[in-house]
Amino acid sequence: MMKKNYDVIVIGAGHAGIEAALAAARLKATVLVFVTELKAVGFMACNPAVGGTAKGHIVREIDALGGEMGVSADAALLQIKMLNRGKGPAVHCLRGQEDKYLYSRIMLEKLRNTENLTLAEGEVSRIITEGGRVSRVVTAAGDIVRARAIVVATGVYLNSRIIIGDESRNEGPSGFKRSASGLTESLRGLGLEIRRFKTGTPARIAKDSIDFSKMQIQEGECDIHCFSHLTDEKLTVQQPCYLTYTNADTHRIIKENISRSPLYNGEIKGIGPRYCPSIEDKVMRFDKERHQIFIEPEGRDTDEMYVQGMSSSLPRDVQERMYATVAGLENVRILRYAYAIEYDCIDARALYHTYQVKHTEGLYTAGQINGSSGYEEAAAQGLIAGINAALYVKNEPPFTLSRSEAYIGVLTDDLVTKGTNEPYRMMTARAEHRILLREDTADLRLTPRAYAVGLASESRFARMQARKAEIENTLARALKEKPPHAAVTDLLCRLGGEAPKKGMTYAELIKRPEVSVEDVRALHGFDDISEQAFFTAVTEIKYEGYLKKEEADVKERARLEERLLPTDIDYSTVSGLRTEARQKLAALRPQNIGQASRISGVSPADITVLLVYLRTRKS
Amino acid sequence: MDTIVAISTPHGRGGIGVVRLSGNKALAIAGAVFFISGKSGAKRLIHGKMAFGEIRADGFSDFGYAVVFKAPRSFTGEDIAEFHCHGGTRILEGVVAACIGFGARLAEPGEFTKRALLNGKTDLAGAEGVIDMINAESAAAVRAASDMLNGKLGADIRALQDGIGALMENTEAVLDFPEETEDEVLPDGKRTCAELAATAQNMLSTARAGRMAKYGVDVVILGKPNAGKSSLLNAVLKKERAIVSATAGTTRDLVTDYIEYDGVKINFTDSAGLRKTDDEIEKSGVERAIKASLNADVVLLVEDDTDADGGYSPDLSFGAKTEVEPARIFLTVKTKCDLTGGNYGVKAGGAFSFAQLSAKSDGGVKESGTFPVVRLSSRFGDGVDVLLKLIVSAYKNAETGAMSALITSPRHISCLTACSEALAQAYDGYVSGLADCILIDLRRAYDALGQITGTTAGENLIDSIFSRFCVGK
Repeated sequence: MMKKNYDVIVIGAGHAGIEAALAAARLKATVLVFVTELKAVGFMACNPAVGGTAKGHIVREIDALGGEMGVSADAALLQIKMLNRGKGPAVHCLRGQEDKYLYSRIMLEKLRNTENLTLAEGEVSRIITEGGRVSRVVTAAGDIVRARAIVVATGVYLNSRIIIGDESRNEGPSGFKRSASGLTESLRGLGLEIRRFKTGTPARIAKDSIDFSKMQIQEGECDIHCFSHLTDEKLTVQQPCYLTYTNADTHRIIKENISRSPLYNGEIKGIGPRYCPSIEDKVMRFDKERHQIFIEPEGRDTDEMYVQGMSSSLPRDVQERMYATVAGLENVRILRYAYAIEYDCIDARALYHTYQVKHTEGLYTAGQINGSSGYEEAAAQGLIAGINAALYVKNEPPFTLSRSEAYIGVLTDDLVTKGTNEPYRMMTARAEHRILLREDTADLRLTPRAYAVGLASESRFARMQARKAEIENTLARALKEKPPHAAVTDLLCRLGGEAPKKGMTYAELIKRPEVSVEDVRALHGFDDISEQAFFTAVTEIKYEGYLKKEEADVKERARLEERLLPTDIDYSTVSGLRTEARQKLAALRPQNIGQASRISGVSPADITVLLVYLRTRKS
Repeated sequence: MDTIVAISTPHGRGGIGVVRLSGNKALAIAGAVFFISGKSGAKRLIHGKMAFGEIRADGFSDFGYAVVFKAPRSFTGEDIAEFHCHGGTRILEGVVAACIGFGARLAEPGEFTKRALLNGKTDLAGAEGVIDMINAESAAAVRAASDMLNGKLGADIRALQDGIGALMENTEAVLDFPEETEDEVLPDGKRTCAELAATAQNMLSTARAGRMAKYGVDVVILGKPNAGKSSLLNAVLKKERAIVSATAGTTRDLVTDYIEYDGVKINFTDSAGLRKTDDEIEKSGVERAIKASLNADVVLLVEDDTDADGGYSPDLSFGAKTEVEPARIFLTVKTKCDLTGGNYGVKAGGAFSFAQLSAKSDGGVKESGTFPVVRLSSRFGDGVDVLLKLIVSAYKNAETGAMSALITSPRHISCLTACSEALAQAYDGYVSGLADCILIDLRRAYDALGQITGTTAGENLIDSIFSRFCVGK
């Protein structure tokens, strides 16, 4: 039953809304969640997968912080893989194929069964503030509910429009109801700049209409750990994906009909993501003979298959012909057509690193409304926004993560400091210290932080500590203990090296570039140590030089982060700044010198000028 | 904090010049560069006390003062060391280069002040005063950089940086889009990296030619006492610069002067005759002569043609040269040929070039028999022109032998050295195939050049990935 007053209201129950609501409720705030339709809770509107490069790191981090995505993703796994194996531990990334319907049901149950949390079907049409603080919302049905903090997590539902060729419908993804009763205007009224972004999804096709014999099977890996640090089981039974390709016929059909693509004829004005190009984009922009197409299952109990790599906004008749050209899809039956979707979002540079809107106390935004894309990016923002909403209500200091602490820190800082001109996707290339942000160290980095704030449970913290002890034990032993000489000689000769000197320690062996974690594991000196702890310890030894350099660099940067820039600086009066720097600083108003230094157009000399200014101002 | 170094006195010739270091290695570097009575200054330098001693740089040393200030009782709040040397760009830049060799890096404009501010050390008046200085310095740096970037060198450096950038894009694209890029044909990263490293090395090897263009060719005259070294100096200068006498050991200190010949500045340094001696002053003169020759572009081995026993082979191979500069050119000069029948001009050895000799780390000393021999008479001037032409041609060979435009600034050399080292490490990374480490090194290499070109890796990289590859699902 909906009450008249809550600590925190969360608008939306997608990946951001769920984490925000659960985090706030677990931090003992009373929470009301609005969702347009219950079956849209935690729905994977695009690909049925969680993780992938950099995104896998984010899921591990969400989990280490006590968020929900990792646990639910593990429960709904159909297949799991470690990407980038052999390219270095910093870029190992988990990716799981998910039963999207099961995932959604699990999340719905969690919301329903969480203390302090109320779930309501409904739509918010207005946010009302008093004295620069949020005070209440008005629903489309006319209800008024008071709240001290509000998290807006509308995803792609805000004033969304679906486009298939020349058809267009005002609805959310997958035929769900959109949110269109005035919330955009309300946000604009609060001083937020509204933008229009675009994304798209491919068709869903019937499994029994596919000839898999013409495709390459893509299996998962049965012997790897899952997303959550709390999940001990491994996924031994997995469902495969399939790889096939477009060809000259596919490309010809697309080119002949390109004028009918709303992306090309000007019908779609929203800005789309470059990393998620439609098939017409791929064909028009890149002169390749073929493009990869992955066929992925959408769930255990569904006949639907996802056609990854073929998102499109072409008309239905073109889609039918185009899909049928692909090997194995000759007799394809399309269950739902590919579509493009446009939606309202904001410029996240209006936010603090807590995801609170700078000029409105208690108002937070998280997820795709901030210009990001991806379930993982959304969930991460929801988690941080939810934690901060609860802390704000309790009048406690905010919780933020830095760029050197977590991918979530990089994501946040990129969004609020640099801003984005397209739906933002996390990439490992965006992190300057990725070797410090490995997926195998998410718990070590973040669980203590979450435990301190009250989100990570006792058992999660205890697990982290046990693992840490194991790692330290391994490190200490590796420095002293020596593997059997004969075994080492065998190993090194097999790897094409010279016979080693006698008395080589494990640590010395590990540091050899040609020696891998698996090679050392196979010497059986650490059979009492868990695989995951062993992997982390070996990586710490192997990368010692790089880690030290990166840590020193982080320390140096941290000093700049500590230099706060007062919120009331009038940059036009700071003498010595170059004009470009002056304009950028005035527009973006960074909170500290570190942020200022990352703004393009602000030079090291400008930073020194700012330091001088701070000094003179103090006196 | 890493350790920064810069010349703190105004550029140009001055009576003295100060090189300043700040950071946690400053004291260690002071110990490595400054010697008191032949012993490292590491433990002998006392906070705030000037000490006299020897400042050792690559291939030369200067006598002057050093002082250290220990953290936090210093201008920047960090450990500081200062060397008060004799003025002159070559000396000061040499000292800076030596500091860089021991782990410092060149300071950015205003960086000493920035550190002072970060550590809460500068007072209000000091802080206000520095803004103009910073702006002036960075404006000068920008001007210098833009002059340079418009030229051939700028194009070469940008091309190298672009090459590194493209390699990073390939590697990043493969990491962030592993499945999509499986279907792409990518260039061999290891080979590309090796090519880039070679390019960086080639550009560095032009540093010597660049320096010669800016400051002139350094020629040091070595030989036995009374071989006619000072007479030769006077002959090329066409004036009585050095005292000439029949007494062996007349010249004890270095005597330097320059001429312009065929548009090239040539700096000649006459030195004490090389012989074993118990005279302390003369001994020190001999040491200086050898040291001066280590830093020279051309060494003239002077032999008295009337002396049957004229050949002299001093040990010229000690004191490894910096990696940046190729080895020296050696010429044998036979003097007093007017007394032995003339026959002036080049007599042996034939063509040579810096490029040929630079391949030998010891400057080709082992093949002393193949040095070109010039016969001349200082007294009548015969053959002197031939010698000067040979020196100029040595310079011109260095200039044309260089694959890219001339590099003159120590800042550029420092950036290129950092780039070259990072590329070498990236190449090692390809052995283990760990792309995450390779990228750390490639980024360092890219950003090192970025200090010259002003472009650092960042958003451009991601933009390029999307424009070059069809990635994303």
